[in-house]
Amino acid sequence: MKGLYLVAGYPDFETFSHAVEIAEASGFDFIEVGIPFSDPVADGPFLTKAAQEAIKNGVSFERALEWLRSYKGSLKLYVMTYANVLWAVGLGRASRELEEAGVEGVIVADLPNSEHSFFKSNGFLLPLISFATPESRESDMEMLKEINEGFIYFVSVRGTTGGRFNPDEETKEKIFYLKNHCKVPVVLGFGISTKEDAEQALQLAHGFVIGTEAVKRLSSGIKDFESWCFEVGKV
Amino acid sequence: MKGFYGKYGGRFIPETLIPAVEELEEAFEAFKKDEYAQKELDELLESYAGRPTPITYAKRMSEAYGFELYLKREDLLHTGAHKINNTLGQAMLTKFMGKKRIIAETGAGQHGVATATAAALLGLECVIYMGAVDVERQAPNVKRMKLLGAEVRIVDEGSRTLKDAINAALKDWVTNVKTTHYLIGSVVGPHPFPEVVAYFQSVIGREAREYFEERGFYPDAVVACVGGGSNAIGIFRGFVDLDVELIGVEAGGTGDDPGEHARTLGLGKPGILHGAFSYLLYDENGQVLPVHSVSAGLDYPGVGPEHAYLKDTGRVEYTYCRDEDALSAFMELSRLEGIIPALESSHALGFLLKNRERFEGKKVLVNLSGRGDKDLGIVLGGEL
Ligand SMILES: Cc1ncc(COP(=O)(O)O)c(C=O)c1O
Repeated sequence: MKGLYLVAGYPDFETFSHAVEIAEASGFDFIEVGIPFSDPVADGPFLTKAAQEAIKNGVSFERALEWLRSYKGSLKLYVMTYANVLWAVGLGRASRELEEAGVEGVIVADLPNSEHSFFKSNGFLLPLISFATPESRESDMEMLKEINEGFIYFVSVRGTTGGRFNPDEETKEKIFYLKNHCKVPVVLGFGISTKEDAEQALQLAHGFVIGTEAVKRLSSGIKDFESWCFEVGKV
Repeated sequence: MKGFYGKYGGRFIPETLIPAVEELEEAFEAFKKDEYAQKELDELLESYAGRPTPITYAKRMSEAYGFELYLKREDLLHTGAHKINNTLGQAMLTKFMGKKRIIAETGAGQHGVATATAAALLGLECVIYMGAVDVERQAPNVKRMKLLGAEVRIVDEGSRTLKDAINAALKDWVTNVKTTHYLIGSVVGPHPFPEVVAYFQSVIGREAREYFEERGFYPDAVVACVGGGSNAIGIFRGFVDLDVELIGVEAGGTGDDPGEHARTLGLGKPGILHGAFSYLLYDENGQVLPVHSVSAGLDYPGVGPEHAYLKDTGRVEYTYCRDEDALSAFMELSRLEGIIPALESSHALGFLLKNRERFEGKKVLVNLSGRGDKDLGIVLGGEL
């Protein structure tokens, strides 16, 4: 399961759509479409700035939804955003519209596993992706074993997006444990940027997702993005 | 539900931080049961911070305006504001948890100074995040924090004010969670922070209530300014079960259009920011709106979840005071009583002076949350 995270409509919708086509052609299986939020506490400086630019260019839930509805490719679609963006739309409506647009699940960076119930009881029915982290305790991992929808998003570094992929031994053991005991795939995210990182991630888990590096490449030009994409997509 | 005030509250933070807030919750519960630790904190509050603080009857001001004005003098505390009640408490919790580094956000700089002070006192490493706009308008406090041995990190993202300082602190916390405690400065953030901060600040209300009980009467109204809401919760908790009007005053800025004020409870809607479901100022796409206040400590688009609950139940009335009315109250108290109030606290006073007819003949207690030395540049510098 190889995934790319891209900010919806960044740097503009045309380039973004083109980037998604390239991702598909180069061997990726899914994309996470980021709907930007003004105060993204899980993001490092680069994605924070990208989000702010996208918001300035008018990217919103509605604009992202329009794009998702129009998408004809074969990549699986996930949405990644922050709680207030969905809350502002209305959790019931957001969930319904995203589902109709073909979205498989939603990753909410500031919605920990224990608050999924808040979203669900307020009408959000689409699968919410569960997180594991280097800080996960035994009790957390026992709960993750019961998850039967989507995948487990293993945030592989302590910190914000754009850090370096370098899981310590204890974290590797947690990844390994979950990989062997969960009912759904375990996907590593945060800090993965090179082919070597991607290869290591595939040895440790079922998949990976690349965010900051992908958005960085795209901001420096579609050609640069394309050659990088074909390199990491091939692993 | 646990961690909620009615429907408000919760823990809307990255998963990585969940074990840390649960560890804090455990430390907090243990602290509340530990008589020895409580005594240690009480001693610090007394011999170091200067508690109990007096209540001053403001005689000249009362005569001039036709009400009976009582001031709870948190401005007399060490470091000059109520913030130290909370920082000493949380610094003790930090030690309980075996952590050696604390980080904090600050707007007016009062919480930053109080955190740096507690860190110096208890031998902890300390980093303070402060928006670039606030660094400029509250410059004296930046120097104080540095003198106290804290590192001040200037935040140049977003609106460069309190909201962005909290974002930066949360990002630091998620990176250094193993060694670091995030010492939040108001009744905001994920559970259990709103409860932890309210617990340490409720000493204000306890003392104030005792003062009135000793004299055989209660005030008719208790008024406090509301930024995140910690000084207000602190004093309200002493009176919430009584037939006493409770009034929270938000920053009215210059007007009611987006970006002109910080009237979160007055003009916002329920939403999610900085770990809690509470009232919030945001646009139709869920993006947090810019806010304005002449006072850095009230210049914040969110508010603590307990206030959201108290608003919905109607127990507390939330109103506002414009920049100019806060500034004239600042001058008025200085001249009539010889007390220079913080611009934040001046909002509580400004509301009262503006609405003098409503309070005619009534006994009103105002929480004077801090002193105004830090604000001389704004008030005298003609920056408005
Ligand atoms: C003196 C003073 N009062 C009030 C506030 C506002 O905070 P809160 O609403 O948490 O009391 C501040 C914050 O900086 C302050 O310095």
